[in-house]
Amino acid sequence: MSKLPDQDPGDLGLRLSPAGFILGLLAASFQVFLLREFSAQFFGNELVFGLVLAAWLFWGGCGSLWASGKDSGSKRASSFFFGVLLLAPACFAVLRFSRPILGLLPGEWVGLGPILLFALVLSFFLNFPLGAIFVFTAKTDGPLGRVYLWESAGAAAGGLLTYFVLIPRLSNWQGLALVGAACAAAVFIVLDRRRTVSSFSLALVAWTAFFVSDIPSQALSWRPFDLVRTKDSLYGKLHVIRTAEQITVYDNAMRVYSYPDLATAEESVHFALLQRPEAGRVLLVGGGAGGSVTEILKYPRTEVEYVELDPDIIRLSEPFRSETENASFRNPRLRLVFDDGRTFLEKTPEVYDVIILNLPEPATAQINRFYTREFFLRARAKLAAGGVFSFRVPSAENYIRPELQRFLSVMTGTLRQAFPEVKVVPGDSAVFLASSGPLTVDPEDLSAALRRLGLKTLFVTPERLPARLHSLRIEALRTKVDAGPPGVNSDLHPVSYFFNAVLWGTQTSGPEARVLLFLSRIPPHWLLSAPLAAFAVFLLVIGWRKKRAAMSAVPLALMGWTTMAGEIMILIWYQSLYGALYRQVALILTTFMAGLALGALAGAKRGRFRHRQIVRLQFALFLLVLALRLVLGARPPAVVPLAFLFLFGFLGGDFFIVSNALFYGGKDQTGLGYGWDLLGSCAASVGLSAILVPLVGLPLLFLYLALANACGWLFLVLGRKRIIPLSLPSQLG
Amino acid sequence: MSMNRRTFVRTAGAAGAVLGADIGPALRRLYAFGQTAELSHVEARYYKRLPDREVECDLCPRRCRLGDKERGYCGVRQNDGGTYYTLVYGKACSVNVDPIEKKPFYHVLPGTDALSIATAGCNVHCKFCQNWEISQARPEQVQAFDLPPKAVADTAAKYRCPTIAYTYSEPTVFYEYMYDTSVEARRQGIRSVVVSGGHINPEPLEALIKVVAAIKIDLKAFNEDFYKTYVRGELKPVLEAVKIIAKSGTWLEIVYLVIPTLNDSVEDIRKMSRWILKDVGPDVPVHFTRFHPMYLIKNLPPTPISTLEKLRQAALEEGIRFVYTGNIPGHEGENTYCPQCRKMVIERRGYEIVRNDVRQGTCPSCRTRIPGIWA
Repeated sequence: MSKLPDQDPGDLGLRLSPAGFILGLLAASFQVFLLREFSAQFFGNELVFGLVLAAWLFWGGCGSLWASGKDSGSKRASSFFFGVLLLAPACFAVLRFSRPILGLLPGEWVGLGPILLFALVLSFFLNFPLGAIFVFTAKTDGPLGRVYLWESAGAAAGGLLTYFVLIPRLSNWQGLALVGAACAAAVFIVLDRRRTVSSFSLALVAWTAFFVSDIPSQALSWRPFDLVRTKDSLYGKLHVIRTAEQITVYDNAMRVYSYPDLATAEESVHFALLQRPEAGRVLLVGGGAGGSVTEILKYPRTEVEYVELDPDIIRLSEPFRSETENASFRNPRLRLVFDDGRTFLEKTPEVYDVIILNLPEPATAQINRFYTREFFLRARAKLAAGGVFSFRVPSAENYIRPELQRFLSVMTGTLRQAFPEVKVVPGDSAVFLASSGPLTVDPEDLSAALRRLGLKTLFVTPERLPARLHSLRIEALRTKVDAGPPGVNSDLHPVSYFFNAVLWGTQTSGPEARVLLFLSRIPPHWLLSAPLAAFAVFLLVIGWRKKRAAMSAVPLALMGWTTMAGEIMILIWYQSLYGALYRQVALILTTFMAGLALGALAGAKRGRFRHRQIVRLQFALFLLVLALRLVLGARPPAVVPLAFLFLFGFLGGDFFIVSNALFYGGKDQTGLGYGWDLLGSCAASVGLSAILVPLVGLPLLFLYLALANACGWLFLVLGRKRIIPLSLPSQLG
Repeated sequence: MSMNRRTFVRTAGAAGAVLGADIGPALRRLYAFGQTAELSHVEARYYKRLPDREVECDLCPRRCRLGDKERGYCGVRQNDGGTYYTLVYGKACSVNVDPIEKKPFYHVLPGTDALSIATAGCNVHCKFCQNWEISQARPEQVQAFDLPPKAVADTAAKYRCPTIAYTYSEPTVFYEYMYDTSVEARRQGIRSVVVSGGHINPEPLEALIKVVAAIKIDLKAFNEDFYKTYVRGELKPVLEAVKIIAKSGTWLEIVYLVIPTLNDSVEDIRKMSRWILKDVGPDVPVHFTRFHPMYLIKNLPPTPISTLEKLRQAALEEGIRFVYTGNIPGHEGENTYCPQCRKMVIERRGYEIVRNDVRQGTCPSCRTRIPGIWA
C-alpha cells in the first residue's frame, strides 16, 4: 500500500484549507445559479432539475476520477481555479442564448434532448475542473478529510450567501459575477503563489463585463419581443414583454398571464361562479392579475380573498394594467394576501362559497401539491355546504389523446376522493368543477344564470356556450375520462406531474414520452424489485470474485446514492407538507451541508479507522432510512425533516472519511472515493424525482432504499475479509 | 375503390351502430382506453407506380417518392408492394357539431351547424397547430371511429347539420374519404365544406371542388421564410390552390392567423391584399384571427387586438371588400357590412348570429350583391 499523506499531529481537521473552502463556496454557488438559469431558459420541472443535477455530479465525479491518477503540484489547483473562473461567464452566456442557438423562439417548448445536451456540455466545463481541483487540493493540502470538511463548510457558506444575500438583492448574473470575482481574488491572494496577474486581471474583466451585460443580454435573448421588465424574485426569473397594448408576464420562461386577455380571465372564474351566482365569500388562489379578480368582482355579492405567492407577479405588471384593472385591486371587496396558497388554506378560519384554483398545471412537484387528494380534502373542509371548488388544466378541444386521457382521468379520480359531484367543461382548457351539491354544465342553465345576472362578458356568453358545451363534446370528454385508467394523485405519491411530463414529451415528439409511458406500465414493485435484485446479485458476484476495486467503490457509491436519494425525497416530502421550498431551500441545503461538515469532522476525529466503524455507519444509514419511512405518514413539525437531513449529511460525511481511509488511503488514490460518491449521487438524481417518486410514491421508495442499504450492510459484514487490507492505517484525517 | 368482404361487413356494422338512436354507445366504445380502430386499406387515387415497387404520391406538392412499406410525410398513406393505400379511409377520430362560424365561414349558411370530422395526419408541421393531437399523429396512435361516408352523412342528418366540414387536421391527407363523403352527402342534400392549408396539387383539387360547396384556406403568412420555418411547407403551391378555387366558382374564404411578431407585418398584409385583388378578386372574405398560444409555441403571447385592427384596416384600404377579425367576440370586425352603402347586414357575436338582414344574397338597403351561400 502506498504511503499515506503526512499527518499534522493534532490536526483534527480544524486547520483551515482555504482551497477547499473556496472550492465548496464556488461549486455550491455555481450549482444553484446554474439550476436557476436552466429553469429560466427551459422551465423548471423536476425532469430538468434531475438532468442538470445528474450532469453536474457526473462530470464532478469524472473530474475526481481523472485527477486521482495525475500528479499534483501546488500550481495545478490555482491554474484550474482560474480556468474555471474564466470559462464560467462564457458557459452562462451560452446558456442564456441557448434558444437563439437552437433556433427556438422565447417561450417555445423544448424537448429533453437539447436540455440534456446543454446540461452535459456546460456541466463538463464547470464541474469537471471543480471535481479535479478537489483531488489536487487533497493531494497538496491534505489530509483528505480536512479538505472534505472545509469544502463542505464552503458549500454551506456558499448556500447561505447565495440564498440570503445574493438572490434577494441581485440578479443571477450579478450574483454570479460577485462570487466569481471574489473567488478569483481569493485564489490570487491565498493560493496563487506565482501571482499570475494576467489570469487574475482577465478573470476580473470577464466578471465585470458579465455583471454589466445582464440586462442587455436578456433583452437580446428575448428578441423579437420587447422586454420591458425583468426581475429575479425569490421564486423565479420574471420577465415582462410588451406586444402593442398587451403585456405578458413570464415566470421561468412559462407564460403566467397576459393582460388584457379576457378569454382566459373569464374562463378561469365564470364556470365556477355561475354554479353559485349568489356566492359571497370567494377564495382565488393565484393568477388574479390577468383579469380574474375583475371578473369575480362583477358578481354583486362577492368578497374575494386573493392569495398570491410572489408579490412581484402582480407588481411588475402594475404600470401596464388599465386603470379599471388597477381599481379592482383597490376595491374594498378584495383582500390581497401574499402567502403560499396551501399554507393559507390550512390556517385560515374562513369558510368559502367558491374556491378557485388559478395556477399553472401540475407540471412540477411544487405546483402538484395543489392538485393532490390531501389538498382537495382541505379545500372541501373550507367550503360552505354545497360550495364549489374549481380549477383549469390544459386539454384539447377536438381530440383527447391517450396521454391526455390518463392525466385527466387521474385529476378526476383524485377529485372524486374529496367531492361526491365532479363535472368537467370540455375545451382547450378543461375546467374541473367539484362540489358536495349539484353542478351543471348544461348550456341552458349557465346561459340563464348569465342573463339573470346581466353580466357583461365576451367569451363565456349565452351565444358561445352551446357550441362549447354541445352534448357530443360533453359526452366525448366524460366517456374518455371515465374510461381512463384509475389513479389518485397524493402528496406522497404525486403521479400527476409524471403524466404531465409524458404530455410534454408527446408534444415535443422526443423519445422520452415513449420511455416514460413504458415505465408507467411496469408495476411499482417490479420497477424497484428488479434493480434491487440486480444490485444484490452484483454484490454477490463482486464479493465472490474478490474484485477489490469494485468492492471498495460499492460502499461509497451506495452512500452517495442513499444520501442524494434521501435528500431529494426529503425535499419533496418537505415541499408537500410545508410548501415554500424555494424560499427555505437555503436553510434546508445548509442543514444538509452542515451535517456533512460536522460528520466529516467527527470522522476526522476518530483515532483509528476500523472496519466495524463502516459497518456501523452503514447500519445507521439503514436505520435512518427505515425511521424516515415510519414517520412519513405523519405530519410532524418542520424541524423533523430538517433533523433527518442533518443526520443524512452527518452520516454521509463520517462515512466518507472512514471509507476513504479504509479503501483509498494511498496518495495516488486520492479522489477515487470522492468520484464514486459523486457518481452514486448522480445515479440517484437521474430520474428519481421525475420518474420514481411520482410513479412509485415516497413510502415504497423509502422501503426499497432501506432494503438496498440492508444489502450494503450485509455485504460489508460478510465481505469484510475480502475488502479490507490486513494492515490498516492507524490514522488518516 | 375496392372493398373486400371483411371491410364491407365491418363498415356496415359500424354504420348500423352510428345510425342507431344515439351516438353515445359508439363514443363509449371508441373511448375505451387504449382502443384503436384498425387501419383502412383503400387504394389511393393520385399516385404513380414506379419501377421496383416504388410509388410517387401526386396528392400534395411534397410528391413523396416511396419504397415498399414506406409511408408519406403525412403518415397516413403507405406503399404496399407498389400499390399506394390510404390508411384512414372511414376512420374519423374526431366528430363534433360546431357552428359554421367557428370554421370560420362567414358567408356560408350563417347560424347553422356543421358536422365536423377529421382523421389523423397532416402534410405540414405548424408549430402553432391547434389540433396537433391528431394532425401530428399516425393513425395507429389515435382512437378512431369506423365511420364510412354514408354514416357521416347520416350523422349530419341526425344532428340537423346542413353541412359537413372536413377540418381540424388537414383534409387533403384523407382526400378519398372526404371526396366519397361529399358525394354521398350531396345525395342527401347536405353540403360539404373544406378547411385546408391548401397544400394540394391542382389535379386532385380540381376534382374536389366539383363535389364540395366551399373551401376555406388557411394562409399562414405571405412570405416563404415563415412557411419554411414555422410550417415546414411552401407558400407558392398554396397560392396556386387559392387561384384554382377562385377560378372554379366554388366558394372561397381565406383565414390568416396572426401570430405576434412572426407574421404580423402590415407590409406583408398589403402585399397579400394586392395579390388577392389581382388573382382572386375583391369579394373573397379574409379573416384575421387572433392567435391563442398553442402546441410548441404555447408560451407566446396572444395577439393584441390592435394588431388585428391594424391589419384589417390595411386590407380594407387595399380594396378587399369583406375583411373580418376573428376570436374577438363583440368586435365590429365580426360583422358583415355592405361594401356599397356600409350598412351592417349581418351582426355577429362570437359564433352567434344576432341579426341577418341579407335577403336573397343582397343588401336590404341598396340591393348590392353580398356574395356567398345564403340558402
